[in-house]
Amino acid sequence: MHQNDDNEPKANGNSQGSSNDDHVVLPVEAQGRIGQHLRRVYGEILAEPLPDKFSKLLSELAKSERKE
Amino acid sequence: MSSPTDSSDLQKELAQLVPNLRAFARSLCGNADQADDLVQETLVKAWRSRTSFAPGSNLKAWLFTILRNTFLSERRKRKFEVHDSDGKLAMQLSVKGNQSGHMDLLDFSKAFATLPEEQREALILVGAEGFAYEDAALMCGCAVGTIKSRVNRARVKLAELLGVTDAGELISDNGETPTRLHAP
Repeated sequence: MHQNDDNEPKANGNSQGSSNDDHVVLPVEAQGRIGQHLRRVYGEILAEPLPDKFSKLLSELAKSERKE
Repeated sequence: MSSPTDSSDLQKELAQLVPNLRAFARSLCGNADQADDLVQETLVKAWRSRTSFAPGSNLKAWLFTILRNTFLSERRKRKFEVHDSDGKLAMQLSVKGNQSGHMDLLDFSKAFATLPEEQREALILVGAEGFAYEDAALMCGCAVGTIKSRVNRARVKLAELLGVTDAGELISDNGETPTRLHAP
């Protein structure tokens, strides 16, 4: 499959049957479905409990500044 | 140099964005430990260069740009080895077994992992994080049209892989309401 996607993008045409994905525009409802799944998957990562190391790091950074 | 008040504000704001940084890092490098290293490095860099952040501009975009640049330069130095032998690399998830509804997410993750890197990135920035095309283009150093094209290609490919049709037919959803855990 070609992945030269840096070529000039086409306007959102609606022509069917083209082999170029840039010409294919998903119906709004399908776009919405894809978006829902994406946000659900991404949301699972966002919702993961945070290890302490990040807040510790930020505190250390702030502390080191006060000494400056 | 900023006042202590400023820096404690910044500390708070950075802390709030750590989950987003982790999720974005995970989608870039696919390995949870490497992703966390990347986030820590990003926080240190952001802190050290905080005076170059323009107050009132988009902090998340600024942080994501630092994270992305760090990832790319580390990878150039081969610090982050990319092994995508079985296509499970991108966006590894804690998909728990035996829970109804999780098969969908697993399928989605597998399909997502087959997309080219720049399409995954564009889709995450625009579709998951809700950045404007213009912001995503600035962050990726490319034209707005290129981002639009990448997002569109990614959606078309995912729809094809997951069997999403015009009618919105989709892999079974169990009637669950999708969780939307972040502000758009």
